[in-house]
Amino acid sequence: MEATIRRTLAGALAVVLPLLVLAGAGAWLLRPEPWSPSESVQQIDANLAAKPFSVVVVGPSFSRTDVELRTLSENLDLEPKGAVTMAFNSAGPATWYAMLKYRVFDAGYAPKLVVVVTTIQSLLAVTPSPTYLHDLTDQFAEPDDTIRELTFASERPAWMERALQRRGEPRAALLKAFRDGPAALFYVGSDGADAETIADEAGKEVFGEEHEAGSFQMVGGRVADAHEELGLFGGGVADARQGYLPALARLVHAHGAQLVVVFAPTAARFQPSQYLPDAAEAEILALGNELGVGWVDLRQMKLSDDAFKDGRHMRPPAAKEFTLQLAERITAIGATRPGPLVRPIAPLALQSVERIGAGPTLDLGTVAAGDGPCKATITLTGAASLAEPRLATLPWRRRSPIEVVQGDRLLKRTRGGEALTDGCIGKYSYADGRIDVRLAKGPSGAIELRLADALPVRDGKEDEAWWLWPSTSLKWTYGAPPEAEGAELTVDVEVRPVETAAAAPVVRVGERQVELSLESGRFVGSLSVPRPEGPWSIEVESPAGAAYAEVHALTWHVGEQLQDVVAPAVMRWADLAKAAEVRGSATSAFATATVTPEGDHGWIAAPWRNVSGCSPLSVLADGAPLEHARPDSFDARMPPESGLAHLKDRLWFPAAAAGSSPAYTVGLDPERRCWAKACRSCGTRLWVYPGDKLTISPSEDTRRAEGGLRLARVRVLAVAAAGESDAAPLAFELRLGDQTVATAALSLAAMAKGDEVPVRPPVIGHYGQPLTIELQNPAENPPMLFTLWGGAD
Amino acid sequence: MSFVDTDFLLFFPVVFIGYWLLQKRRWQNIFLLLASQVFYGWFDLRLPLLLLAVTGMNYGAAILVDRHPEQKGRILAAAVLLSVVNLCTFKYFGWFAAEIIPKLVGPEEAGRIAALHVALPLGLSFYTFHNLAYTIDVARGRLRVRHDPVDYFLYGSYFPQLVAGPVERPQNVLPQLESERYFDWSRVTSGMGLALWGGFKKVALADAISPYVDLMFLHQDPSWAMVWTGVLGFTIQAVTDFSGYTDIARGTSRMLGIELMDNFAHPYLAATPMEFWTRWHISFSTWLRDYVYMPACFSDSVRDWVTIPFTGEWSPFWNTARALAITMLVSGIWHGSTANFILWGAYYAVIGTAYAAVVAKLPKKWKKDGRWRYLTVPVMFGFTLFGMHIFRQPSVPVLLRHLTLNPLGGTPEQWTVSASMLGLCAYAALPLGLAIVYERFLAPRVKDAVWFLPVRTTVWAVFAVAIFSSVRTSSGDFIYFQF
Repeated sequence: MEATIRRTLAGALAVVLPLLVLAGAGAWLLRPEPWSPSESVQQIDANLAAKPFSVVVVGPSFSRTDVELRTLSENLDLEPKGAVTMAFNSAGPATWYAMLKYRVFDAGYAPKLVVVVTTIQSLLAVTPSPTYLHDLTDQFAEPDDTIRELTFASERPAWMERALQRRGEPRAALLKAFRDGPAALFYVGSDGADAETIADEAGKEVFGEEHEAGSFQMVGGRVADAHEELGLFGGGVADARQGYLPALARLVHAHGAQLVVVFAPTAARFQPSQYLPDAAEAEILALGNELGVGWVDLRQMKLSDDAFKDGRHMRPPAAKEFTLQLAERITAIGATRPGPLVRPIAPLALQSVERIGAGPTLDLGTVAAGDGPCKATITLTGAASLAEPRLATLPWRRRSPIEVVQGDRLLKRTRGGEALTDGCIGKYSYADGRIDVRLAKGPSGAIELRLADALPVRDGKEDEAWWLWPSTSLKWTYGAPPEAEGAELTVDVEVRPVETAAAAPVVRVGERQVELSLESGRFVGSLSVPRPEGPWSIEVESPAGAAYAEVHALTWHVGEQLQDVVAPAVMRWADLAKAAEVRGSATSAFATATVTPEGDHGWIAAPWRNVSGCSPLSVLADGAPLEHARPDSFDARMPPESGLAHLKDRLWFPAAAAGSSPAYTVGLDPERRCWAKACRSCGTRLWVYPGDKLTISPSEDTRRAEGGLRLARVRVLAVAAAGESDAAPLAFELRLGDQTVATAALSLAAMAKGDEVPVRPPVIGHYGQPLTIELQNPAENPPMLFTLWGGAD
Repeated sequence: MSFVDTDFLLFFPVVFIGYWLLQKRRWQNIFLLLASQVFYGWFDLRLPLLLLAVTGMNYGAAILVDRHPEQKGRILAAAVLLSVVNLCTFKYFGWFAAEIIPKLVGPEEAGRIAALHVALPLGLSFYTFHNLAYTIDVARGRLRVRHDPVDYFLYGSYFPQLVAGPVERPQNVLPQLESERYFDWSRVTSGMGLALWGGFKKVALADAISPYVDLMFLHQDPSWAMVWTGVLGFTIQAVTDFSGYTDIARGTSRMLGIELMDNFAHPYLAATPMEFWTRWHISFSTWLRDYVYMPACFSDSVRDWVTIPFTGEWSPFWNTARALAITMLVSGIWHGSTANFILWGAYYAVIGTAYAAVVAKLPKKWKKDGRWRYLTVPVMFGFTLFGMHIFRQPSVPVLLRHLTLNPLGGTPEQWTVSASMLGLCAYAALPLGLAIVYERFLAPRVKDAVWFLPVRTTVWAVFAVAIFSSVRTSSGDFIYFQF
């Protein structure tokens, strides 16, 4: 019996004791990681607790120097006012994530906006360098799944990592005891050093860099070592999708905040390094759009090198300017309120544009000396088609492809309306099939005519022309578009030859030819092809014997990639207004008007004074509208260019032909445009009539600008009328898709005649949803002139 | 897969449970045969093909020998030749490509051939000898031919001893495979304990000191103390590594009811070289004894060959010496093609012969007095150290340089690291010493005691914890994998 009890007890102990050993080892291995905040973490926590904040700025060191927190919070429409920065030197996405998670969100803070100021390359980083690893590991007792997987390349659960991390400690301690004890006994002159130091120092001295191999670090047992063995320190990923951006977006959005990534400017010498290849940037941008991350790209912000302390970190004045722009951009993309942000679209980069073929040799014609010093006349023969009258038929008459060269000096062409004065001024002008030249001072040289083959030919800051001459072609080559299912590439083209009766150009998209039709002297065509998989090109070829021509319009779009090839680099509000569909709700009521004859003209009393240089009025004679009212009464009074002129409170127009007595009615010009001769900006102005809800929908073409839609000012000019000081505010709204991105109540109370009320609409860049502008003018107001005017930053 | 991979921790329980659930010998053998292919194919899917080819060739050769006894000499010679050529091709391809082929063909062609990078399949040596033992013994009439392909192929590919031994004999394993096995808890627990002990030796001892040993051997300019403490470390590492692996193999096999032969019997307690080889890698030593040494001793043709060119005389002593030389040279060449292995073989041939000559002259009563071992064992250990130095150091010039170092030379730091190495040797040797004490003095007294059971299982738990805390994610390979 006793033996049985002993055997049973022994059997039980044989099971229990090992289990206790295993359980004890397991408990020791799995015990929660002790953690006490480091000094830097305590500092961060203290900063966060000091005052309320709605904005958190994270990033490396320049996120601290470049962003003025007070300026930022004051210029963002967020409550509570307040912003904090969490930044470490060379901090990367892993550290930002850790700080946001452990210092901000897990601590119960609820900012509305997280701003990451960084470089685009950093978005691909997943591991900090060894020097800065502690900035990451200081944030937590043990990392969460995201950090464990992305930074430490571990897919194991936390408890297993803990066990694997700790398991080598007893062994290492035992090995060190056996290693260090004899070392201390043998070492002479130890200077009081402990055994471990003696053995370590001796090991380093004897084995050098290899010493670590004998330090009993567990490969895979310690995160740092595993990482080093895997070569992951300071490393990144090729695909941002495998980096921290998705995790950051999830973390921030899960707590109801918006995430905006900002690329800051640097000194000029560092700028090239701030960019990734276009395709890589486009991919990151596309990922951010998909994740609902806002982008603010200020890498091209104009700052002198002196604005930086070291090329990277801004001085306070530059930081203020940067912060103001940053606040503006953040507001523009809608990041100060919940909901989807304005999504930029990365444009497809042009790989090359080239002119293929040399073009014709110009027959100079006859050069004759003029009747004075430095005078000469060139009678154009072979290039007659490029004579001034022909060019006058084109809107861009100033962008002639002909250059006049004297020796090695390019002579300047006179501007429209500029008289060619005498003297050695180095200029020329066209006149009736000839070119009058005023030679330049200095050594004279032979006068030569040549074709300006710049692509495009620019005259001034804005005007440009893509000239195509016979036996040459222009070819634009693009890279492969990003992946997009079911998207076709559509190319629209318009070629305007100088002579209408000319052979048609040949337009090809890759190998496919665009069918062109001749409309009003222009060759137009459109072609849709399957989305190209690789690089693709558009080629416009002018056959031999064809006229000189201009590629007037060339646009393409595939998926969300859009480009207006021959448009200016920057799409401005002015162009937007021109291409807009304008719908007004106010009716254009016309009332019979009493005409007062005066000389060759008559006038009708205008219901409103014209102080703006434009007129909202239209006059019909027997139901047929006269020309649009012009603000310049000089035109109205000067035959034969007579027309309708709105001068102050009178509408002037030429008298009817003898023997006729039309009935005149006056009302609002239904087109709502501003008409004036030689008024560059008039086409950008729009009338908003009393009771009008004006909807402006720019055409899709406006999305195609290479540089996207840029910041501009919007002006509203009041028409002087009785009681304008009591005018009700004009409501302005700018929408992208269904989302309102800008609103304003344009109060006219303080507006004097001719003053503007500036409205700063958001920066749109490349936008992916339909753009709509709405203006509502209360019925009791006079017509208001709304000007879309401005330029790039 | 390797015994110290986490994959094996999943593999073996599945095999163990499946095996014992099957109960019937036939199904168990089929199951084990398939499991062995999975085990071996884990390294590379092509390896089982080679294994099955070698096994199949010997299986077929033995059948042919049985059916055509008059041709058995030729059939056996062909089987041996094919096996040896196959083994040598893989084993020495690198050496041939570097040393011989360039002399036979142009350097360009030699480079093309060298670029083939023919690697040595894991365990090829072991299962080649394993299979050859069967074929030779059948040819010699010492063993009955086996016709059952399942049983034979299982013998040829049995996973516990497949990649690093023991080099089992058909007389030991085949009868077990052909008998019913019954589940026995005591054998299972005993096997588990043996496997844990083996794992402890490999992971917690051998792998622990191997980085430091490597440092000592890689150092460009070591002191005398560094050299010899490093050699000591390697000596301990080698026995813990190799015997550890063997114990895992034996333990897991015991859990499946199949007993493999003991491969190590405290080799550093040997008093003579001959005794050493009865304690170190016993399976391979006995294989060499039976298939190389004995034929070399007793074969007329071999005897004539070694007699005429060398001495013109024949005597038992010199016959033994020559056979030993042939055997040790074969052993050396088997370990590798570099000069140090041949030197190593020659070294053991010389000291074996010298010992035989000296011992032959000693009075009989001295040889019977166990106290002589207090002298002979340490002396033999010294020779073993020297041999391990040759074995571990691939460069003969470096080896010679080490032998001429000043025993008192070295900087204080070099003495310090040498002392550290000694300490680590003590760390690794202590459990081995305790194991010897337990086996010699404690086990006979306590192993049947009731209270010893919980002590044993608790020790196993400690081993398990020690293994877990020591195994590295990229664990060092077993030393003998390379052979």
